[in-house]
Amino acid sequence: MIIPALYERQKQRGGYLTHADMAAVAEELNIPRHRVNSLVTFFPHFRIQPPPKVQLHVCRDMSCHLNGGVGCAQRVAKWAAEKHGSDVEVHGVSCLGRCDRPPAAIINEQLIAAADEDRLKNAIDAIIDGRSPDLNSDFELAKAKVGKWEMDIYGGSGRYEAVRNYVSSGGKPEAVIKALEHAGLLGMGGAGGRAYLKWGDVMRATGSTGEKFVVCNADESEPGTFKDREILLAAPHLTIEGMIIGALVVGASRGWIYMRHEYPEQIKKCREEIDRASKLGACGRNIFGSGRSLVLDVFVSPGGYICGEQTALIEAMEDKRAEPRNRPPELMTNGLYDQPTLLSNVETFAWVPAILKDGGDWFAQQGVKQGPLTAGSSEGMTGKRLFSISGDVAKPGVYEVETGITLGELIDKHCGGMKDGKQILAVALSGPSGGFLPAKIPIEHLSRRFVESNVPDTVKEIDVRDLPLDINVSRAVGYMVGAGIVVYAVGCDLLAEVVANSRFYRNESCGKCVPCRVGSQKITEMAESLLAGEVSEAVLDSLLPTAMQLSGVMQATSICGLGQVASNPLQSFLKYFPDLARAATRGQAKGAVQP
Amino acid sequence: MSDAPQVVVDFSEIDVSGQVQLEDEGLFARNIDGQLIRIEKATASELDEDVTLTIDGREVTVKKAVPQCDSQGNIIRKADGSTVPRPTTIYDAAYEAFVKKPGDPHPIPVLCHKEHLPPVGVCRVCVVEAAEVTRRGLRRKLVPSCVQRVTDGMVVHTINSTADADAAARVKAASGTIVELLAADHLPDQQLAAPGNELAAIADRLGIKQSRFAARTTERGQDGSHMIRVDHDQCILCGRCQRGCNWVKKNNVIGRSEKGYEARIAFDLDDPIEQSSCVSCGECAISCPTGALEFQPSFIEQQVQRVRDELEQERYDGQIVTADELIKDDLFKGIPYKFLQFNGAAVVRRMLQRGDVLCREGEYGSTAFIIKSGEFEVFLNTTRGAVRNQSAGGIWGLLGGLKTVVEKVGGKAKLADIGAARLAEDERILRNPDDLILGEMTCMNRYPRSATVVATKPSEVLEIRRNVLYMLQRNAVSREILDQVYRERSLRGQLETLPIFESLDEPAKKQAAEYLKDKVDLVSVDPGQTIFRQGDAADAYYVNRFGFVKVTQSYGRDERVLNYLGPGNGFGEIGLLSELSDEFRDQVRSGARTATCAALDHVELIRIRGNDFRQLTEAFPELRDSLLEKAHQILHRDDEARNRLEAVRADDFLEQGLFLAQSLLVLDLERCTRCDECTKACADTHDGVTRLVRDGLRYDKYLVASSCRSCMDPYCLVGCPVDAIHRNGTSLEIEIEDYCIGCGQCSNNCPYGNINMHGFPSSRVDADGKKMPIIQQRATTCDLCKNVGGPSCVRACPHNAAFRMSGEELREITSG
Repeated sequence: MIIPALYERQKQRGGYLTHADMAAVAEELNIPRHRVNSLVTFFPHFRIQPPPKVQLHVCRDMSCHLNGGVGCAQRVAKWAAEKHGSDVEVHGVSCLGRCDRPPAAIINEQLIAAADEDRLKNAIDAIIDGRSPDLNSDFELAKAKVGKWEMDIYGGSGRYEAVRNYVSSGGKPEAVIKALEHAGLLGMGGAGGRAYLKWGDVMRATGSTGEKFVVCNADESEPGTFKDREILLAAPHLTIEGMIIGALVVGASRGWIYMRHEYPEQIKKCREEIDRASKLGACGRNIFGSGRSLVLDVFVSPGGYICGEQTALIEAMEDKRAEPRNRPPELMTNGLYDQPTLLSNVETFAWVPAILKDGGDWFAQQGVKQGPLTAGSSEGMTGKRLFSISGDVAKPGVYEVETGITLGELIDKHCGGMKDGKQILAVALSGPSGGFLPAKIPIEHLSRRFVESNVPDTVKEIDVRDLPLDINVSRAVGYMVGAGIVVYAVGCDLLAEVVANSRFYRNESCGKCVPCRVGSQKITEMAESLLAGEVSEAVLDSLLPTAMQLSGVMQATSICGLGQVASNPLQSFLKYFPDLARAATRGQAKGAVQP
Repeated sequence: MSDAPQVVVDFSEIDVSGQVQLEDEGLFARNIDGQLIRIEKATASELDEDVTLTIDGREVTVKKAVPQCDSQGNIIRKADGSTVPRPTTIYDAAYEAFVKKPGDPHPIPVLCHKEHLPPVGVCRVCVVEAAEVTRRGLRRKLVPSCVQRVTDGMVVHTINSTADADAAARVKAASGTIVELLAADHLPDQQLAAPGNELAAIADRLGIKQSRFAARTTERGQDGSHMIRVDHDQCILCGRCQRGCNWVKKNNVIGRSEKGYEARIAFDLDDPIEQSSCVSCGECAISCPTGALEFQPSFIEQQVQRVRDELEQERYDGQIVTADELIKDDLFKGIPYKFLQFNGAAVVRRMLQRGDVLCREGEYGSTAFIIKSGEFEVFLNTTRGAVRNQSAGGIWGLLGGLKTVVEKVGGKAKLADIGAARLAEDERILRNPDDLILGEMTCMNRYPRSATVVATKPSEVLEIRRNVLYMLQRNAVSREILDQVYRERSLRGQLETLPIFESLDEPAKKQAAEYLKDKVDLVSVDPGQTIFRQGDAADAYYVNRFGFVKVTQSYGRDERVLNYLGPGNGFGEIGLLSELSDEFRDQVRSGARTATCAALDHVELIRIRGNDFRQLTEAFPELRDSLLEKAHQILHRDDEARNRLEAVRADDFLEQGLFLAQSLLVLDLERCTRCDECTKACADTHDGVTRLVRDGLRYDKYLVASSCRSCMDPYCLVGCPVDAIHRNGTSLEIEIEDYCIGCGQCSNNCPYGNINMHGFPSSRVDADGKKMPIIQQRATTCDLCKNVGGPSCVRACPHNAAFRMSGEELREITSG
């Protein structure tokens, strides 16, 4: 166990690792030194310099970027350097998952939400002076959700009845899989695979050691996405119960919740809930007297967005650099330690108790299927799901809604409309991965088959507010829907947002495959030069096809989802906002076109 | 950039995950029934299972798996002799389909892949478009051909496909764009025409004149040791050096540091290469497809100068052939240019006149000869026939065939070439450029030359060192060229002399040999490896061409050595014959092996498959009768041996490799006072560093000290990257040259711990031309004090307790 050994060393040393520490770990574990170095330099959690008294990390992505996080961090950094010198380090970091209270910051691993310059400066001074800083917690928001979601059939405190029923009815895995199929549950992590298929695949798979594993992906790091943060605090029993059922169905005996290290409250909460479940007999040895066992634990991620990629996550658990695997094989057959592994998102597991309550009937009936774009385009999604929404809406947050409601409904009915009544300039419907959609989408950019059969000839564009939040429909129509939605209002510098999102992927690329490692850099440089006003109109004419070709190649040849979507911010900007791109060539980078 | 408008190739016709997310699953993840396939290590049965796919419109049938090879292209075998299958990839299948003869171009360009390394699929230059019919319709996707396994019914298009021009355009746009990305960052102008820069070669092949992308603005820096220059800016992170260092050479030095665009290779804990545990074996530079890891020009110059001086000193009539010249030769084309540079002087051109001797029988040689023009005659030792099948007394008699091949000539063992062609009185062996190569056996198995070779007309040869020959084998193209020649030569005339044919008359022998010609396999077996195990189903008959085979049998819990078979002996007939006849019913289980056969040292075998063997016995009844007769004898002898062998415990002696020893340092412990004069004398003779340790195996009252034994088959010679260790001329000692780079390979190879690594003060000229004192690691071993006329350890012993003797002699004095 190299990563745990490095954690331990770093702790003993006082927050960093020396050359001698790393050599000692290699020696003790009898592994080549290069393996230790490859891990220490890959994962942001490890340091090779002594830490300063204060480490301040300020988010620079999406809604935090939109709300001035980057400028704020720069000003605080300058101030801190003058006042405290090397005692304080201020860094911009990738999304911290607190997009609903931007800009978010973490000071010595503790949260400061909705930060401004003064709060950050005060917090720094406080720590330097040995006082307690003014901090925030995630539970401040999550407590209002406890027992309020329909997902939580227990009203806030898990009783593990689904596990009990499963055991007492003799443990029929087929019945569970049938319920999942009937309910129509899709994976909530992004790809939207059908849950019953995955569970069946793992159940049927045989490994080489006889052991199987269940892993919950709680590494929620996609900018704009923070729903798991709330589930893990408000209803961790649902996710844990889903994992237990999953383990019983597929035949797993060990499981982990793989959690990002920036979620300390959630790590603690989940550990407590696992203990509680074990005391209730729902987890651990001999689950409710069934003779079946499941040892559950939280695995704290050594850091990095790429760890959320499912195969990279498994690599990190195996003490390797979190570099995604070439597939096939899939994790369902060749997962952790090459054994069949059921790996799903926090929310996917969390819906399982609600589905099993009535064999999936209730869930199957949920979902809006009569919207103008939904009808006839595809078999709509079922159920409800949680969306994280942030940016220029009045009330950003996590909302449990029926699948298939439109973006407009989500904004107006749940988020209290747009912030200050502004107009939509662009929307990112799947964090940065789906790129930016304009307020009116020209139909030539949508699926030809969908347009031919569903759109009347008179309609030339589709209002982004009318898009149903439904994965199945989005596939048929030609856009992406994820769990994190960020809305950008007229007046924002969209190209600056493009650059920020593009940099996010460049920064988080693991570097394994060429199209992502080099492509994400080149596409970011193109966006940066456009933003800097360095691109003339003539150059744009040649940059445009080059960027489009690069984007296509990155999508088609990258090993994992990160590289496949890394070009989407700029690509969607060039596709949907040609006027803004032209304006940028005339030195009007701030040219938010008035509608 | 050209003025013509850029064509943007559209990928929307194929599965592209980034556009609209599909159920995120790889192509070919499921079987026809939609069940997910667990990927296990390939199984042995897949080696025989056919898969048919279509590549660029051409149907090709390949085996589902192929045997895994080591870095030399040798098939890897487990201790029980079975191969290790690995799945066949699209890249492999395309080779089958399109590379018909050595030198044909492979249709798929690769950068991070190299045939002797396990594939990793990271550069994505080798993508091809593959189509799969699923339950939900046709799925097409770009897949990396180096890692994608073949599946029945797969339809594949490469950049060359004329069957689907659109698909070919997509593949080309993808490969090309990736190459442009790499070229922008990692291909400086001066490397464009650099020989051996594979990135430049692929850019050229894909018609890329100028990358559309801006060059890198930040630098990753430079590093270097006295031997290797590291230019991180040219590194494309293909990982070939990592696999070379960690997988091929097991040195475990090179890894990766940082992530994303900042990722780079690193030595140990990201230490400067000079301070890392790098042993300078050179494998990383040889593996590198760009200019990121190169040999220092000063190092190459030094290598060339050394050989030049040597040639001059020895008044040798050779002329060094440069890497730039060699790389144009078909045979050397596949060898990394940097390897040829590294061994800048490993190939020497020699011009011979009629009557000139190329090499002499009995010499230890470490070179082979590529015949470019002319003709040579091969003279074999005439006593060869006479020693065959003679038995000897003592342990060697027990060892059966050993005496038939080991003949004492002037105090050193000599191997008679029993495997070579049987000659009629007036028959001559001639070799010309069609034969391609001469003398490679000595080079590969480290035994002395078995023949004298003389030019019959003005001739030109390229004399290559052992490490170059290894490199030729590593490359598929040159390996195939060599294999063909080797097979042809090995079997030419030899089948007729098979011991099983002894009962046949001449015409029948020719007939039988003709029948077998295309059916037999040539098999190489590594020391210690099992050929077959007692109780296994008998599936083949073997004839030993080279080396020794140990035959053991278990009775209950005891295992005993029944025999040692030298070259010329056949084995494995009993298991096959027992199926054909009831005669052995009482003695052996039908069709099963009665004993276990394993290689004692490097063994070369001819394998005749069971079916062919059976058909042969049907066609030639007299053959069958004589084999049955022999089988009876063997079984009878085994019975006797079973009783007699109780008394003999030779196994220990053999397993310690002493039977191969030609010069053991033996101390008589009854006389030895432990004064250590021998060790001191050794140190005095060798610049203060002793090459012997007064400790080791004990036999009776004798101690076999840790000092080089001058093995008949010195394993230590294998794999030296600069060919600094060898045996020359007709003397026994293993010599390690001063230009040893201290990589430790030979020291690791020696099973007896008799090669030690020592630091020697030396100096090095740095980049500014300044001389700097350094400590240079170098391997040392006993050289039998050849410069002072005989081992000083023996002469120095004041008590007459130190002796040099062969393994055979030790056996005699201890068994007495």
